[in-house]
Amino acid sequence: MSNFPTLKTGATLQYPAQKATQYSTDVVRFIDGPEQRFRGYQSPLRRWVIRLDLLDQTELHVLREFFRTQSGAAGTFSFTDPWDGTVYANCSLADDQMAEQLKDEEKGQTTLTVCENGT
Amino acid sequence: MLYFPQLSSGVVAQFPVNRRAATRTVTNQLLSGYNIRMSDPGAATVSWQLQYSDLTDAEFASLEQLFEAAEGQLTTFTFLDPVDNLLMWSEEWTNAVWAADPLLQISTGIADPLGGTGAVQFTNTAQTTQRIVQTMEAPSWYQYCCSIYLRANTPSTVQLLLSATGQESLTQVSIGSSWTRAVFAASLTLQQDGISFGLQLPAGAAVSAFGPQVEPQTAPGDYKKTTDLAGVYTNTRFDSDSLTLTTGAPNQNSCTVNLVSNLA
Repeated sequence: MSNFPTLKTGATLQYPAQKATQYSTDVVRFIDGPEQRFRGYQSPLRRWVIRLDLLDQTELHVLREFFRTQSGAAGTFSFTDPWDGTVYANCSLADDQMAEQLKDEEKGQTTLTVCENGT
Repeated sequence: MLYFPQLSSGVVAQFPVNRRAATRTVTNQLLSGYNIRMSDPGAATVSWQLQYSDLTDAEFASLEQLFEAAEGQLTTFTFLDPVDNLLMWSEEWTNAVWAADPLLQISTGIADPLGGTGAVQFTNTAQTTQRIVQTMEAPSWYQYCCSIYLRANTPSTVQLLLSATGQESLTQVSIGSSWTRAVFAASLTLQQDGISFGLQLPAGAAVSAFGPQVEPQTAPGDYKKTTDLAGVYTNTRFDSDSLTLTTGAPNQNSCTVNLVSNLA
């Protein structure tokens, strides 16, 4: 299984970085007031928004090739959470589109969203 | 065959270049959060938004001429991606896209200048020159910049070549024991569909090579490793049936062109 690529500096993402934790709770409310709650996911699912700026052409190309080899959101890969180093083995890209802009030779930018898949 | 034109400066696009890759995935999401995903490779596209400013009348006319020849978004043409390497399998010199002369030995897994082992060593065991070339489905008369990292244990001289049937442009490169990026910008006068890039070694030469790259411009960009897809998109269309020109002053035109290429 492939890994999410890192930049030349070894970093995965840049500031401002965004991370989300997602639970899925089903709530059944009864007419007389009480409620029952059911856990949808076995464990919470993580999501990272990776905004990258000031990339050089090689870094942008590596991300572009990664998107292509993943066939957008279809593939799975391993992602290391930059906050705590935890490796999430079953992740995918959240979108089927990758937009990029090259403003100048060393000023590429793109945004990718990585989401953890449930098991 | 129709080709997206280069500007008089020898480039295809101006900054900023906007590029969007799109795929299609059919997803079944289960209540537990588990996903079943299937890719639809036939729907994969790449699109570009090219913003031009300060175009001369002749440059805009060449865009307009292509737009009329393609009849808007009706028919296809070849587009050379300005942010990609036009060569396929840039680190797989033994792939069939590379045509090597029979007495040119290729050893793989050599340490490369970027810290990996993607370089190769070429040894010419013949008593004449030997070459390795790749042919691209690109116009022969465009401006190209070819680049490649080279080194040799003993000082040597090799030739970089750009060729079409009946015409070739060769440039001699002296190489030493440290990695050097050899750069060669050229254009042929011959108008043909297809152009080849290659390396030619004199008899007995042994050189290490890494990162061949061809770009439709006059100077090299950062090296981009390619596999089965390179920057030559032969199935490109205009994404609109209209092309709008804004003229700010004599010979100063601007326009935005949207292109899309189906990867299937």
